[in-house]
Amino acid sequence: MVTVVRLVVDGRLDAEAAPALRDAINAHIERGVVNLVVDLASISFVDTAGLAALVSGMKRSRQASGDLQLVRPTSTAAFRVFELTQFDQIFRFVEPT
Amino acid sequence: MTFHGRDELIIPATPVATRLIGPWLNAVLDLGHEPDPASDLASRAELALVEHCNNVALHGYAGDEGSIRLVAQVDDDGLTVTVIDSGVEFDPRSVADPDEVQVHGYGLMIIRKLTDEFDMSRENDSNHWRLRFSAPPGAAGVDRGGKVRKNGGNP
Repeated sequence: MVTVVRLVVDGRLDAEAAPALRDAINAHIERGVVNLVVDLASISFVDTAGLAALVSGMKRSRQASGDLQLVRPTSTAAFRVFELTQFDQIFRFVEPT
Repeated sequence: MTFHGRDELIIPATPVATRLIGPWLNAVLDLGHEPDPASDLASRAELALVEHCNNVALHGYAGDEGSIRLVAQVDDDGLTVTVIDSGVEFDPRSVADPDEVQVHGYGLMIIRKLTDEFDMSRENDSNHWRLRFSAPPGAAGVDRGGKVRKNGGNP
């Protein structure tokens, strides 16, 4: 049985908010939960500091044979940072329900 | 954190203060309190300016206290924001875009992609950065009165 943890983020994922998300992701991975879904459906803004927290988590989870998937932001503006950096082709995205 | 009129914003060089940039841009572009989905000019400018201000805080001021002044000018074809800081001089041309997957180092790449012009001059021991954003054709524009024309329709 594979345990998948879902983390829901809303509001802004920026340099102010990113450290808390990074710590939460790391805490799960250190406990052996290496499959995570970060739900960005309701996010309004993502910058490269927020992206860094997600990329770091994805790398750590994949190194541990897991993965960090993302629920795609519904906001075009919030998805922009993934497109500009081409991380939209590296993360596995789940469509929001 | 202080608003200084409609077209000028002075913020401390901290991550939380960059959250004032979006509402300020919406006011400058007459978009009201909520971003207008018909125009991505404000959201493009917000992302680039947040990235730039974070770079100033991290590298220009190296985490020390400092302030950042943003001055907006709206014209027929878009928006120019001059960002002034007193941090150390930095030449963005010395930094190449990442060529492999890495955690950090995408800020300048994003600024370059989002701006039509991005340049810096050193004046009176301050850095004067100029970020130019053209209004997207068809989706939105800026009329001669300096107000955003939505949906590409007539002002």
